[in-house]
Amino acid sequence: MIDLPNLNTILPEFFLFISGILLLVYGAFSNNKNFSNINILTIISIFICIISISFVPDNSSIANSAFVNSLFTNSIKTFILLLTFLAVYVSSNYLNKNQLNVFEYPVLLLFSVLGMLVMVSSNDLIFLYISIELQSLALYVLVALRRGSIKGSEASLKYFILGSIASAVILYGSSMVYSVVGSTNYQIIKEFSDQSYDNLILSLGLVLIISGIAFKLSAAPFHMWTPDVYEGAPSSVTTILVTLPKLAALVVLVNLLTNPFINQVETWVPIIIIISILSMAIGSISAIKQDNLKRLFAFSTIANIGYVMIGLVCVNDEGIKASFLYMFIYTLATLGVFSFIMILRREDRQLAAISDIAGISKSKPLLAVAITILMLSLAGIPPFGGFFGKLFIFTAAIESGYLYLAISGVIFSVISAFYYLKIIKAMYLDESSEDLNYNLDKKQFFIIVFMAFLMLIFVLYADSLIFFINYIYN
Amino acid sequence: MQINPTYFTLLSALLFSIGMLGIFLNRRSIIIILMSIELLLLSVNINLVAFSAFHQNLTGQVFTMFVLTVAAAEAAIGLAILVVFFRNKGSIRVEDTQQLKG
Repeated sequence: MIDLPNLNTILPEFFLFISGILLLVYGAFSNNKNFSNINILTIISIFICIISISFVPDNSSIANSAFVNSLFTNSIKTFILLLTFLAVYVSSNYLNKNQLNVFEYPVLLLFSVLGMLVMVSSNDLIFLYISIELQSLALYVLVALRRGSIKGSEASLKYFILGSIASAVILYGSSMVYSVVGSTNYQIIKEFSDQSYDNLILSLGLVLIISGIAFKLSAAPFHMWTPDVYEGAPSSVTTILVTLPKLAALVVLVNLLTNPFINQVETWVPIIIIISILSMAIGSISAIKQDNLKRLFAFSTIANIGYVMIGLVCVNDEGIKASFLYMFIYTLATLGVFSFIMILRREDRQLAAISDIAGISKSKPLLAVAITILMLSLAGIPPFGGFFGKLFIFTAAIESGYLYLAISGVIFSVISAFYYLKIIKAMYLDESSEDLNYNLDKKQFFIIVFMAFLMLIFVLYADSLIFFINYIYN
Repeated sequence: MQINPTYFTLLSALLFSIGMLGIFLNRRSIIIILMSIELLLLSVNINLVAFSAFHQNLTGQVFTMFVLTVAAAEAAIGLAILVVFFRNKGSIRVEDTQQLKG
């Protein structure tokens, strides 16, 4: 009698996989004019997938506990799917205007999200590698969606080459871990490292895995691809790149560091400290000279990942919760910012230069106010969400005795306030040369204003959000 | 005859280093970079298979099967992206990928 596994354990992933395949078949056999149908079907399948998460039994596992579910992974998956919905919802108008309304776009996005969901649940190095590859391979193709553009294909080529190197480094680290432990399961690695925590090969494998995941997080010194890829990719794809893979990679990193490699604290804490300080420094300082908004926010992403890393250095629950809170605020704020970049158009061109947003405050005052709130929130100015994210991160760092990390974090956030304020100055004080053809549709406007509103009233729901994060992370 | 697994580790590390050097020292064709990426993935397979035999379990060989599949998918996608790039640029030289910088 074969013991069949409980399918409910992988129900969301299974459903996403089936719907991706069916949408691919539907898209291939319809005459490529059904983009809006496929978009609606994608949104429906995302919502059914969110509902199916509630059928997943808590603390269930499958395939020799290579894939585990908990309240935490289920909540992260729900958040990833909600962000996917927002990204699909906000970009349909952009895709139509730029002739990118091909059926492959939502299908590849679904497969990439499938990879992220498996990443979040993976409890085995094989699952980890396969899911990271599934996620990245779909994104490489999405970046090259504008087939006629030199910049798009060059960005995709760079992303592909550097991303493959990062995957190969993760793989080589995994093989080193396997060579000493004899298994790829996290639990068995943990049991092995309990006995021989100073094993050199194990630590070397860990260092290689961390470098590969730091690449996926676009943390310095593995950040070189970020500005090029963000600039070359279509803005709707950049919106996906700055939010979803970062969140999934952070969950993977936290899983790895706090579960199988918790005994190697002496190895990984100095590495994460270096990554954190370098990311904050490079992200804050390099962004100052950028004129292109997409490149500027690429460096802003790098700096924000540096702040998130401070939370991991603390090696306690408080720090990790602060990291996730910061990531939550950061993803929502950047989603708003990139929705704004998507609407900048003049005649038939997409724009992305800072000089192009001059004088928006006169033609679209509400939009300018919303963007100002998002910028102030990213800069960490008090009443807005970003300030509280940074506050919790720095408090956790000081309580764990990393005062110098908190001080350097504050210094770099003051430096990065310069370029956020430069954007506000361009909107309010500079004179516009010619009018923008805004192409402002209701969906994008709604998302920008909604995200700004979320950052504005963060004080009101901060308590319940922190309570929720405490509840799920245990 | 049992061969010491250290030799396999050294062989794998050597091939991995050759792959890395092939990517970073190569100044000519992007095709060479794609070949080097294949070499990176396949050098890891030697490690996995050797230690699968050493530990007397199948995990490493199963991992190798997955890596081979992923390597095939990665080569297909890499070549597709390279074809798109060649159509736009008319060249696959490494120096010609300089549109995006700053």
